[in-house]
Parts: sequence; C-alpha cells; structure tokens
Amino acid sequence: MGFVYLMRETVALLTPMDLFYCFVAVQLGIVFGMLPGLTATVGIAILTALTFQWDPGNAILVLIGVYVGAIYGGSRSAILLNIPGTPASAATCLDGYPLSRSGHAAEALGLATTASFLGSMAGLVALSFLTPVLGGFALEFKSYEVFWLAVFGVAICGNLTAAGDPVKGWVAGLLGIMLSFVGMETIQGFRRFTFGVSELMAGFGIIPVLVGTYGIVEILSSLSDTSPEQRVPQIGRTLPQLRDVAANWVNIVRSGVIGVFTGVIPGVGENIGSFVAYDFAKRASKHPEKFGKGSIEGLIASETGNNAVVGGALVPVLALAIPGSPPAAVLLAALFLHNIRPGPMLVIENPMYMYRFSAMFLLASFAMFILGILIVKPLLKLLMIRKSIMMPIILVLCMVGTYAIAGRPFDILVMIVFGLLGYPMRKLGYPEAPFVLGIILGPMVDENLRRGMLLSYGNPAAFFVSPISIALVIMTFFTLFGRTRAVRSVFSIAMRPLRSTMRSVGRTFGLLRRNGNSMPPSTDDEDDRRERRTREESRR
Amino acid sequence: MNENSGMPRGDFVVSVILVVFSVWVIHMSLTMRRFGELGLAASPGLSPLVFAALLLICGLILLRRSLAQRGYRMGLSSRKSAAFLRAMETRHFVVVLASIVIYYLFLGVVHFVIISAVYVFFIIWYFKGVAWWKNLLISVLSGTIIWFSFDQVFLIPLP
Repeated sequence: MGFVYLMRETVALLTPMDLFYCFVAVQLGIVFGMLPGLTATVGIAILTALTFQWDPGNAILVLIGVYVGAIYGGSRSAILLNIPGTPASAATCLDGYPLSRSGHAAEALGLATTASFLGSMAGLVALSFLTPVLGGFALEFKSYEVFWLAVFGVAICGNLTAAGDPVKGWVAGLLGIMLSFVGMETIQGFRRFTFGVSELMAGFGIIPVLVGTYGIVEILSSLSDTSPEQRVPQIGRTLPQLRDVAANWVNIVRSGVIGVFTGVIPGVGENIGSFVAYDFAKRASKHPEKFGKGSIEGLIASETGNNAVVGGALVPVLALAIPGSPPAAVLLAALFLHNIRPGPMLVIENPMYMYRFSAMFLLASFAMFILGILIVKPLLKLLMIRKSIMMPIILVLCMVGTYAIAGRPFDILVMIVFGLLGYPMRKLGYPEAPFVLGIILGPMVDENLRRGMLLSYGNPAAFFVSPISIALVIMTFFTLFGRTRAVRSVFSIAMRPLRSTMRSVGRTFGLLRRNGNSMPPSTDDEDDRRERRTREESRR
Repeated sequence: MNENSGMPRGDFVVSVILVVFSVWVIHMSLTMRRFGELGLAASPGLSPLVFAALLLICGLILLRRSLAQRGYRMGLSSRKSAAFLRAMETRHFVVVLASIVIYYLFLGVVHFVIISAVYVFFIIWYFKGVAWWKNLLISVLSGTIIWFSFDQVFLIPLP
C-alpha cells in the first residue's frame, strides 16, 4: 500500500512548475557540492532563507533537491581535481582521481552518477517504507555506541587510506582527533588548548580544515611540480555499461544498506558512510589490490554509500525530529519554519506527508541522475585547462567557500595553516582522509566518551556492555589488529573446530571431493595471498 | 604491519615530534581543571589524555621502526641544502605560498574583485600560462564572476 501512496504523490508532483523547481534546485546543489568549501549544509541554509516566503511544498522540494544535488556534486571535483567538494566525497577521491588520471574520467563520472542514483534509491526505500522501524533503531545508539562508532570510523579510514603502512593512517586519524579538541568543549564549557586566543574558542571548522588539507595541498603540489604537464586523453563512455553495474550489484546493495544505517544514526552523517561502504567493498573484493589505484568497485561503493546516507539521514528527521547529519539538521529547521512538525506524531497527524516527502526525494534523485549524466562532457573540459590557469581560480573559490561558512577571516588563516601542515603530510605518506575524519568525529568522540563516563559514574565497563557496543569494539579491534600475525594465528586456532565441522558437513552432503583438501580456501589464506600479491606488486 | 616504509629519515623526525607533542598533551590533560567528585573521569582532559596516549604509542612504534632503519642518520650537508633551496620546485612552492599569504592579507583591505584579479593575473604570469591580454581577461572575468555569483546572487558576504 505504501508503494501506491508513494506513486500517487510522485504523479502529483509531475507538474511543469515542480519539475522546473526540482531541476534548478538539483543543479544548484551540484554546483554547491562541486565548489570546495561550499557544502550541502551551506546550500540548504542559503536556499532556506531565499525560499522562506514560498509555498511549503515547493520550498521543501527545492531544499531536498539542493541536498541530494550537493552530496552528489562533491564527487565531481573529487574525481576531476582530487579536491572533495564536500566532506562526504573524501572517499571518492581514493579511486575517482586515479581513474581520471588514467584517462577514464568520463567513465568514472558516469559510474559515480549511477552509483549515487542507486544509493539514493536505497535511501528512498528506507525513507518511504522503513521510517518507523529505523527510527527505533536510531534510538538504540546512546553515548557508548556513538563513541565506538566514531572510533571505528577513524580506524577504518586510517587502515584504508594507508593500506601499505596503517600506522601512518592511524597517526593521521589520531592527530585529527587531537586537533579537534582545541576550543571550548561542550559539556563543561572549558577552554582547551586555546592559549588565550579568542578565535580558537570555536575550534577548527571542518570546512577550513577540509579545504586546507585537500585544496591548498593540491594547489601547492600541482603548481610547484616542475615535471611537464601531461594531458591525459579521455576515453570511455559516459553512460556506464550495464554489465559493470550488474557485476557490482552485491556491492551496490551492501553499500546502500551500510549508507542507510549510517545515515539513520543521529549525528554520524555521510562522512563515515562512504568510508565504511568502501572498506566493506575492499574486504569483499576479488581485487583489493586495485583499491586506491582506480578501482571501479571502490568508486561505486563510496558513491552509493554517501548518497544512501542522505535518505537514511532523513529517516530520523521524519520519525523522531532528530537530524541524522548536519544538512538534515538545517532541513529539519526549514520544515519547522514552514509549519511542518516532524516527529513521532507525524504519522498520526499527517500520515501522507511521509510519502510526499519521499516523492520529492525520488524526483530529486531522478533529476540528479539526468543532470549528472548530461554535464559529464562539459565537465571533462576542466581537465583540458592548464593548471597554471585553473589553480589560482580554484584558490579564489577556496577562499570564498571557507569565508562563506561563518564570515570569519580567521577561517581562511586556518585553511592556509592546514594546507601547510597537509603538504609535508602528503609528501611523507600520511593520508589526508583520516586526518579530516578525525577532526570531524573528534568532538563526537570527546562528548560521548565523557558523557558516557558521567552516566556510568566513572565506570568504563559501561562502554563494553550493550550488544551494539560489543559488536563495534570487535569490529574496531579486527580493523586495527586483524592483519597482525598474532591475531590471525589466534583467530585461525579459534576457527579450527568450526572449519572441521564445516568440512564434515560438506563431506556428509557430498559437496567435497573425496581426495580431501578441497575445502574452499579460508579467508585467512586468501588474505595472505592478497597481501603477498600486493606487496610483490608494490615492490615491482 | 609494514616494517619498511621507505622513509626512515622522515619517520624519525615525525616520530620525535609526535612523541614530544603527545607527552606535552598528556601533561596538559593531567593538569586540566577537574569538576565534581568523578575527578579525571569527567574532566575535560580525559579525551585528550586517552588519545594522546594512543598517539604516543604510534609515535613510539614509528620511532622504533625508523631507528631500526637508521633513520637518525640525517645525511645533511651544506651542498645538499643549497641544492634543495635552489631547486625549481622549492622556488615555485615559496612563490605560490607567499602569494597565497599576501592575497589573504589584502583580502578585506582591497576590494575582492581587484585583489582576486591581481592574484590570478600574477600566478598565470609567473607560470607563463597565456599571453598577457588573455591573462588580464581571465583574471578580471574570474574575479568578477565569482564576486557577482556569491555576493549578488547568493547573497553570501565576501571578505
């Protein structure tokens, strides 16, 4: 029945005026997402002010369009310039930019568009049909669980982005977390590491840090590079081949589900979603060695993940009036401004609104797909511009984007300083992504650690009690130490009885050949082989 | 874990900085004000203490690894330093960085369009991007379009 309601609301939205608003909003969102520094949050905030006097239906359609477009738009600059337009696209840089450098920019942009669209569809399913159920799931995450989730996010990111040397990834992540502690903390209002500088009381903003560590570093690196500029001829088609998408259907479904669940958890947002989806895709892939070097699977996972988060993040907005991400928080405020009261009573007071909202999201996702595919060819021309012309213009945009967030010149200084910090980090092999993710998740880690300690009267055991916490602790442990020899041998010994049971079950059902040793290789063995292969390749 | 990062000297310098930095943060965290009867458990210094300790462990791992690879042998000489300073890459880096800092210092003092156009013009001129009149056109147009779109259309205040 829900599907019928959704279709009815979608058909009702198919008027020329609504379609026009939707396409313009999505295009605006894509532009906001592409520009370094300008995020979905800024886009929605600006459009909230501009559409304040509008009819609520059109205004909310425009805001959803900007949200969907901006999260998707971040992948454009990530793929073409290695500068993520929004924090959500940081994981897209890992494989999108290498694909672009190898002459497959059109293919990468087309695949990212398709993956984003499919991710949005996963979000739509959650938003339309699972809102009451997932709303309850979101409430299961208290201080202890959110703390572990944030730690897990940084651990995954550190491992992924510095696969050859995870210690460097962890150092970058920990350094990011440490720097996020600068400023006035939220529980007791105590000033930490501010040294009397009043501007530091607000801490380091996410956008100045993101633009500095990616944008400024890219500008400094490419302009100081003396090797002759090479224009890579772009090959490949814009519309992805069906077999590429079909071959990744498990990856898409998995990333979509991960994105939705990450989005549903209040405050976590799209920044972790794409990294978790990427990590799971890498673990499940037959070619993990290609990840970070232009893997289609990696690109699909990160783009599906971050767009599925959008739908997921809107679930608690509707079900509980709690935002799942910063842009969702602004959207929630806009809903209140337009006299729409989301929350547990919405289903009783205005039962059809959930479907109307989902229909707007569906329309915005289609607009994103159509516009995304149409603008690939013009965007490719960016790669033809000389870097000595493009980079200074990008710097001006970085300055504007950073300043626009809070109107503080200090943020521009922060951006430059983080650029200076990021440059040697990149040269020395310390990845930027966990560093930025550490700064994003640091306040969440700090607040939830201390709140949890206060709630448990100083007993740290409370962090290891709930099933979700235990699962997250185990996942974090295996992420950090799963590849060390000691853990692997202990795990292998622990798994031996299970393996022999499986073998005997297999024999019973005649699944195995009689000559033995025909059991499918264990994941440990596979991991060993993969690691050896990767090491050999990197040595070559 | 990778025992051979290929950058022992860099790892040595970074690990020393990390160890000193994390020890300093641990000291600062322990001396931070404590509220209520829970002491350190509810203190604002708890999170910095925990994560500085983890950073210290990572720093020590890096230090041990770099020492094993003799990363402490810096191999610095006046000839190498002079060659580094004279290198085109270093020169480009310094010019780009200095231009960014000067651009930042003049933002808000000189009108956005003028300072942005001057900055873009200078960088294109320095890297010999295009002919001067094309350069002038690109600089003025880019500054004006950005100012118009943000300041006039989106109503975002510019510095």
